[in-house]
Amino acid sequence: MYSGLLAAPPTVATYSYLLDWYLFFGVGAAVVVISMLAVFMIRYRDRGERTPMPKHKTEGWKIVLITVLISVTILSAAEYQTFAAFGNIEIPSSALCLQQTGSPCVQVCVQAFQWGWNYTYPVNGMTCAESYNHGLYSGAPGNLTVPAGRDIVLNLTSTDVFHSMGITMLDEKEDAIPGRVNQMWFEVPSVQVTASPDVLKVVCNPGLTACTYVDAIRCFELCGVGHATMLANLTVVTQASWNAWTGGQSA
Amino acid sequence: MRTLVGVGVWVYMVVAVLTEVLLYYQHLAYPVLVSVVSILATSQGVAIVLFYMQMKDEPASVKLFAIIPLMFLSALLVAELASLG
Amino acid sequence: MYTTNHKDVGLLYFFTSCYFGIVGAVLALLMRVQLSVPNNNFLNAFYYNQAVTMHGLIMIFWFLSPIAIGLANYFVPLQIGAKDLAFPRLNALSYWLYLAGGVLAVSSFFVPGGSASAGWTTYQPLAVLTAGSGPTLTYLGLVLLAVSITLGSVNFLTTIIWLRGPGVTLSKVPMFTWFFLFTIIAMLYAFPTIIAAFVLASTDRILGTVFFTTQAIQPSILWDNLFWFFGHPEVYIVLLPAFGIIANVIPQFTGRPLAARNAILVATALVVIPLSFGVWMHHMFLTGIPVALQGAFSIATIAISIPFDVITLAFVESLIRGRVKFATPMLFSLGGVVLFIIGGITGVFLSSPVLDRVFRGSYFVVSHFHYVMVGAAIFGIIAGIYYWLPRMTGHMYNEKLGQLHFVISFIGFNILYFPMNLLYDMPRRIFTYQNVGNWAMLNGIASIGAFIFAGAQILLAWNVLHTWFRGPQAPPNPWGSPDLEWTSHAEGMSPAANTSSPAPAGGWIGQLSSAPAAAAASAEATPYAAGEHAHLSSRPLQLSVGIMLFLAGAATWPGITALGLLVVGGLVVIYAFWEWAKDDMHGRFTMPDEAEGERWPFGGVPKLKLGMWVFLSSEVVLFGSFLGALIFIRAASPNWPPAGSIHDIPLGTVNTLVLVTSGLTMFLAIQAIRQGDQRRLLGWLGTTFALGSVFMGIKVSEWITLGTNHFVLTNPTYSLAASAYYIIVGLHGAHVTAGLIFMIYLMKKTSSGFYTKENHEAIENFGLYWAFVDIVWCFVFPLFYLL
Repeated sequence: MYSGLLAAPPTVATYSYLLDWYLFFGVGAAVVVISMLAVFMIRYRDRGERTPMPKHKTEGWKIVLITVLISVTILSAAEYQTFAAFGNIEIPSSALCLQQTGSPCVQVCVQAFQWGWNYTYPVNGMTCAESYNHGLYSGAPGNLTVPAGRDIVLNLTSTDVFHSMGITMLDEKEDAIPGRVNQMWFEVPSVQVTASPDVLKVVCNPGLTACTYVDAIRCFELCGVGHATMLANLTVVTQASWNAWTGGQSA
Repeated sequence: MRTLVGVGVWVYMVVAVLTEVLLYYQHLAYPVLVSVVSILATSQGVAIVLFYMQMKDEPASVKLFAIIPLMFLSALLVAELASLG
Repeated sequence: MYTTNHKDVGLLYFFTSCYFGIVGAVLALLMRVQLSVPNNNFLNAFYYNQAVTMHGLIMIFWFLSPIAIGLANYFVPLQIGAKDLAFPRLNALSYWLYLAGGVLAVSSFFVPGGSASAGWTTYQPLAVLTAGSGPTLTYLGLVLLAVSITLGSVNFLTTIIWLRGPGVTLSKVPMFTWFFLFTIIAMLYAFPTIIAAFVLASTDRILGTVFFTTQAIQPSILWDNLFWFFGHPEVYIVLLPAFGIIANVIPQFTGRPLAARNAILVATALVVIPLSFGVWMHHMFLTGIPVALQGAFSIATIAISIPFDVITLAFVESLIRGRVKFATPMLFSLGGVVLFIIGGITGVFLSSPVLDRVFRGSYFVVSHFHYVMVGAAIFGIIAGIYYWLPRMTGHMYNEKLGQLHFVISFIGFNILYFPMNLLYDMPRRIFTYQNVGNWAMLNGIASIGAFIFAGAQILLAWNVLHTWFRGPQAPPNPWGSPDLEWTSHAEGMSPAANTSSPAPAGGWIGQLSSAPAAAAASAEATPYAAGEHAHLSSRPLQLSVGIMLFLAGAATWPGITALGLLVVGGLVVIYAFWEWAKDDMHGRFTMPDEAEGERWPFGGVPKLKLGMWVFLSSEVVLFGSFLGALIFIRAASPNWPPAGSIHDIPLGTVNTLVLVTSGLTMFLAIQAIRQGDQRRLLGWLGTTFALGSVFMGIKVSEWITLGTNHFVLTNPTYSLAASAYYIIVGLHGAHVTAGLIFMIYLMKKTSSGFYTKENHEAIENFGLYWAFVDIVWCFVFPLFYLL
């Protein structure tokens, strides 16, 4: 609703660009204000008799006005950047997905449970609810498998309690809540992405048609005693391997 | 005089309650029923606050104690319903 | 034990909250030990989850707020020249309820299955699905605490508005009292919501209602809304008293007035009303709420930093052209401001729904709120402790040790929490981890910092205790403060004010030049001229013990012990109420008379009536939260039984008319006594009582019919509708019943000829209450019967 034209899914670059803005303003403001505090503290320290008598000036509405103006300017600039990125986090409908990218988004239905994730890859046109019984299950349980270079939409829900799925190597996160389907979308540019510090290790097959990112998926909401170990792997495959694996049934 | 006002409020309350019930039996469209009943219930509340609790005679500062929580509550209600999505 | 003196209660609050603070700190250290190295097995997940949950709950509810309340108890009346709080027995009750709640919460560690373990945020449905009576004990303890705080805020609000001494106009009220006023306004409207939320969760756990276990109604979303509607204002509730202390302390050590005092007050007012209640959904950015809602709450959240910019910069500006003395209170104040700047700016990062994809549920968030709630809030509180220690004990603390305490605390704090900013990819509340990236190193550093920071607090404890018992005599006004708590004490600096200690050589009377100071001094010098025992009351303690036992029984239900606890607790409650009423009948408890002081803008409103309005204002939010929850459930539920299929509409209509009519008769009762007609008062009160009884009678008969028609919790078809009906209508019924009981007391007092044309405040105030109960039913009736 904020961008008439649909943008691409958010990437690591989307977030780092935005984060840079916030860091620039945030660190800048912190440095300026804390330095002011330090300078005044030292400049006006009590030096016994040598200090001139304090001049009593109580109301500084002018300073207040300047503070408000500067704050509003900085904060609006930051907020503007956030709104500009809204197009990236708003998930398109399937039809829009097709229209935008030329090929439909890859839909994956994710059910969080205590303590793990179930992935269902709906065959053509099925909804998640329909596909839980008939969908195509991942060959390797526990691994979320997605093709590189495609727009992926995860449809998240939970069968028991509140979970939150985080794929920190992609800077992506969304809550998985019982009774509700939330969406998250992203794109992994290539099978082997630059070594990410957020995963335990990366295992690729010899032909580099598939790479598995170990512990790339974590739960970010306390969900019971298994919360810490609610980890999962992300496997990224080439488009060709994906087609072979799904037998062309999935989009 | 005050007694008369009190009885008048009571008459209004009775009429409002009966109207609500009668409207229910008319099988109005649900959104219409909800809106009309909400308005009637709110008007009952306002009548009690102003006359039985005599807030109309209190200073404006006391009236704030009625307005502020209602402001917060309406924000909560609207956001709750909106977050159902 | 039976004291109602504000200073005694203040000290009780202070020491009790310090005890809870130590418990919370030990839990934190246990967690830091567990996380210091990867793959550690010092605590397993079962114990770690309890530690992380109870650390949060205890620190926020039983340490941070109460320690501020303790200082406020002691110093707010002194700062405004009041003899005591507006309702001293209510104040004692608040304290004992707070302690009773804390005992329930801590006792949950010792029951099978352990204590609450779903995080301090108590996310549903995990929290109601966790087995054991421990979590129930904790949640009921929380309800007690929330009730205690609600009563306390009614008390403080009335005090600050109504009991200011002569000459203490609003423009002369010191900053700490001002900030505490804003704090209690936030408390007044935030805590009822948490009562509603935890009552619903507790009934789910005890009675088997299904509010948070019915997946179809998205109970997590309902909880998030209720919890964070309370939870975000709670941040300011924790922060603002500390800011008040900082604002109070800074000018004492710069020798110049605070810069932009009025701007600070306007900014704080804007923070509390309306901003703090309009930002809670930034905790829910990733729950799948519409993007428009995310945008709106993002703007509101980022907007709240503007008033804080004004406040922070005014603090900084207050140093200009001053003579900055680096005494311990000043060091902690300035340190608190620095840490708040860092915590505030990380908060701006979290206001972005987009960046929230990166930070949500991570250690970045942990760092952010500890910078605010430990950094700014606790540093401010510590500043206050040092600042007022000479006033509380009459002794001076060790300045060198205090400065050392600050340096180690500040360094330890940053070693502890700064690395967490860099752990923005590590989930919160995981009990163990494998070494990914720099996690091991950063966690190790944080754990070292935790022990440095905690160790530094031993210096504080030693310094306070040493000052108390062995410290050198303090000058009467060591900081040269113009505020009343320093300039007014004529009676000597004894920690227990009602046992007067002799004034030291030179006397305590500082500068009694100004009129308000002199008036307040004489006020404090003779706090209880009527007699030492008149202000003692054992009822608050008895009542709290009774409620505690009763709730402990409810939490551990079923079982013979639980039954015993319920019965004994119930009897103690009834006894305490009975005796409390008898005390009042015979005028056994007297309060000091209040001199006519400054009351603008509430000039014409009597004290009790003002208290009643404030209380009802809070009740609006309580019932509103329940009804809001009901409307949410109705909107979300796919198969709610249609109107008319369950409830008997004609009977409900008749009953509504009965209650409406009782509203009229109560109104007529008030009119009668306003004309001084006791006989008519008794008649109309009797009629009101009769109508109220009929209402409850019909209610009971309805419930019996419903029960026999299988409209019960255990019937899957109706379980949700029955849960909502019985709990909300039951709550209203409880209010009606309480009203009926109170009416018996009023009628007895009327028949003894107590109420007159001039003196009938109780009747007026009961009229307000009864009318309020009436209003609630005007909404409950259509919601359940017609819609």
